[in-house]
Amino acid sequence: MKKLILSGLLLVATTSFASEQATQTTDWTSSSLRQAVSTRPAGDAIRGAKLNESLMCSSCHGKEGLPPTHRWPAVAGQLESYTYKMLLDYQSGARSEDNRANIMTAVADLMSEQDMSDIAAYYASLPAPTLAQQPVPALVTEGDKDRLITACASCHGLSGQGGIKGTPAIAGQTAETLKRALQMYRSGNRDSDLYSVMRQASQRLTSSEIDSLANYYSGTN
Amino acid sequence: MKKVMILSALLLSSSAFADERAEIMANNCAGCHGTDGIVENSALISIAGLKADVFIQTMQDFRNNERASTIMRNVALALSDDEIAAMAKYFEALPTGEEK
Amino acid sequence: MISRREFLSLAAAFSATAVLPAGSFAANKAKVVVIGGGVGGATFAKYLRRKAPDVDVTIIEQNPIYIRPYGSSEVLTGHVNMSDLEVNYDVLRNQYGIKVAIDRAIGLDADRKIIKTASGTDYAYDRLVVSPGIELNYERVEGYSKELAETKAPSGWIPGSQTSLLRDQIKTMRQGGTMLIVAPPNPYRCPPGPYERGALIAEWMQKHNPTGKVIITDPKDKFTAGNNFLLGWNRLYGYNIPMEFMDDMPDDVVEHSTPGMIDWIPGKDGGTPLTFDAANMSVKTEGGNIKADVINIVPPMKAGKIAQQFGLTNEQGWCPVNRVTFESQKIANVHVLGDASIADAMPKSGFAANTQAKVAAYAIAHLLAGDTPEQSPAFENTCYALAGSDYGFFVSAVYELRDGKISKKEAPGLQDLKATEAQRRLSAVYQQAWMKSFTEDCFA
Ligand SMILES: Cc1cc2nc3c(=O)[nH]c(=O)nc-3n(C[C@H](O)[C@H](O)[C@H](O)COP(=O)(O)OP(=O)(O)OC[C@H]3O[C@@H](n4cnc5c(N)ncnc54)[C@H](O)[C@@H]3O)c2cc1C
Ligand code: HEC
Ligand code: HEC
Ligand code: HEC
Repeated sequence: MKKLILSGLLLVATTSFASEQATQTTDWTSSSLRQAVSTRPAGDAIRGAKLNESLMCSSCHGKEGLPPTHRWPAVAGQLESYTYKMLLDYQSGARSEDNRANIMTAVADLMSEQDMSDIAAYYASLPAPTLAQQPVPALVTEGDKDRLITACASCHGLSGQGGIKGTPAIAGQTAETLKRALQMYRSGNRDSDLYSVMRQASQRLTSSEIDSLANYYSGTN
Repeated sequence: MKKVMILSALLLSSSAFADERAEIMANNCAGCHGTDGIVENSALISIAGLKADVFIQTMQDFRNNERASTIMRNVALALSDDEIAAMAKYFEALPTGEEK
Repeated sequence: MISRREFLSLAAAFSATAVLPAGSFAANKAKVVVIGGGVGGATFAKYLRRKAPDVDVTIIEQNPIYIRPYGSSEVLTGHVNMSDLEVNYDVLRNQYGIKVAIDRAIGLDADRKIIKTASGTDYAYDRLVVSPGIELNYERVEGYSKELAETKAPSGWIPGSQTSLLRDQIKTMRQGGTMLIVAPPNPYRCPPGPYERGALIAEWMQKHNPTGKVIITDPKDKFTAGNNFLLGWNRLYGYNIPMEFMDDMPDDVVEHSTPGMIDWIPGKDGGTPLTFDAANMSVKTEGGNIKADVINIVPPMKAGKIAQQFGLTNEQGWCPVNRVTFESQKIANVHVLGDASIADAMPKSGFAANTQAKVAAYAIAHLLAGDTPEQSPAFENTCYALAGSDYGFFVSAVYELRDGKISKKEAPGLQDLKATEAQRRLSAVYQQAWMKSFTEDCFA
């Protein structure tokens, strides 16, 4: 089945459908990112809640930041700085791993920096999902020294809560989003991460490791 | 000729005609959601493998605008509860392709 | 008596007598022949093979590469290239085991159930499916002809060299020039098509020919998704919405003081086209003469020529069919799909051809198996349309059979005129996404 679908895609040349974004963006540097995030207008969560509906974000991410089906990312409790960065990245086209990102590019394009900050404040104000008690994969706490894989927890925190040097919360994210994120970083299609940290962190992960990490981080109470 | 017909009848996969109307209705979604409910590398989303209760809830939310949409409100309003329930069962049983 | 082997080699040599009788050999497979590997034919073949893998399916298609009509107006603005419209038959051949013969059907022997082709091959069938698309009746606009469409005033309604000619004419049009689109009478392929084309060219002109103008002259007084178009034109191109269309319009509609880039002349205001004057590059309408630098005429149309030749059409030029099986009301064991068929409330669109094809595939699987098809099938249509590349909307409906006719199920059928900017943007994203997902559903 998979094979069939892939070959199906071949039949239409990659340039056939102009939906692919061709935006050229300059890479983040640590100072330009710090500058962009720290000088953002102060966020108003109440206005953010309204924008979440009027801009249709709630259709996919939910009114309370939890998606209606497992196909979309959860945004509840996400760090303000990360939501803000993602929206900037979508707006500039820096984050455009595949055609699915076109959705986000189209809506981010309608937003001012104030809008982005307000939505980021709203999402951050919502209760974040927490991880269930479950066996912790060694990659999370130990990494794998032989393969030069740094423990996820060293950046995303022991419970996946994020916040260490601008890392996002990943606890309670949907499995599909986690898998896609790791696959897209690994393939290099998602490449707006500062210093390629996630492209590197995912580089040596096998597909079954990605599955088990996705299962772990999506397991909530 | 007669013989041909009997033969090909046998050769149709046995489950081929189980709840065929649900399948016929579901085929109408494929132009957007992909053959068998799977679409890759697209702004449109796969619907294969959605849990039946989630599917039904989603269609109801589209209908009454509880969940904002572009086109799905119109689609959901044109479908009866029974049709939605039958399709929910159908899509739930389809493999998702993505999760392996 | 000849051996089977000899018989097959004779067939391979295209001997006139070497007709493969349906179901004789090769495990007594039922044979279905499909004329036309466009949207209807390709979708039909794929879904029949999925449903009944043992049926032998052959598509007879005159072109080795399909050029998709849907999305072809985007070539005119350089948004995509001609080559981006191309779709091949590799997946249908290799993954679905469908035989695709690049050949032109020219004759039908309905009694012996045989199709004759230009290469001299005969194809026997148990069921024949015809999805030939449309024929453009150029001569029904006086002064217009196929020859003029290919050299002077292209139609581009069947994509190909006329599409690239039109693109080149628009590109090289003088600054401040006028492009005239002549819209066709109902029924025709892709109801929102002429208006979307006008809008996309107006958008292109804003960048490349800001004093240029698009005029659409029309025999009709209203058209599909008309209000959505008029509103989009008002917002984007300075079009002033006529009073009778102002009901339900949102508050931001403005009265522009200067004439906009796009104008639409309905039939009641004299829009009905009468004659084309190639020498003066003008079209005489009921309301007067319109001179233009580029003229795009979408002429009246009928079912594809082969359907007419086979005797499948009625006096209006379209094919009456049974709505459960799409079997012709004129010739037994022959089915007609897509633009060529009469499908009541359904428009002549790719989406419609695709859902009809699936219903017909399932019905024919049953007929070949000697049992009864589902008697209450369902169909769907969505035509996405753009008023600008970030401004999308749609017309959509689900259909069922009522009193033997295909009827629209009760539900809103258009994007709300009060749709938010986010909704319009997303519809434009989905319009592009659909081009790809839809092509895959038909051909892969
Ligand atoms: C500008 C434009 C925009 C459009 N946009 C949309 C849209 O957004 N959405 C939508 O749903 N639809 C759209 N359409 C309409 C859509 O393309 C058609 O409705 C659809 O292609 C019809 O399918 P069909 O199978 O009837 O015919 P076609 O797809 O035209 O296929 C007919 C095939 O039959 C072949 N053929 C004909 N005669 C013979 C013969 N004698 N022997 C062998 N082969 C033969 C032809 O070569 C052709 O390949 C658009 C059309 C145009 C022109
Ligand atoms: C039609 C569905 C849809 C709508 C509407 C939508 N999004 Fe998204 N959003 C997505 C998808 C899909 C992704 C990327 C998920 C992926 O690639 O796995 C995403 C990603 C995001 C992300 C990054 C999340 C992460 O974990 O990487 C943020 C933040 C976000 N969206 C915010 C918004 C905001 C704010 C709006 C409204 C202005 C919005 N979205 C509207 C579908 C949508
Ligand atoms: C060196 C620090 C670091 C390490 C180690 C690291 N991450 Fe990350 N991770 C980040 C940063 C920073 C981002 C945000 C990148 C961006 O802007 O796209 C991120 C983003 C992510 C995202 C995307 C979140 C979203 O919703 O968009 C996922 C999923 C993720 N990491 C999972 C992991 C996993 C699993 C591991 C362990 C294998 C890991 N990370 C190891 C720093 C790290
Ligand atoms: C013309 C394209 C189109 C057609 C046809 C279509 N859909 Fe959709 N579907 C969409 C879009 C676009 C969305 C996102 C919501 C929106 O904006 O309407 C969606 C969303 C959905 C969702 C929510 C998926 C999720 O994970 O959140 C479901 C379920 C769904 N559609 C079911 C169906 C079914 C069942 C049919 C057929 C009866 C169908 N759709 C036909 C375009 C389409």
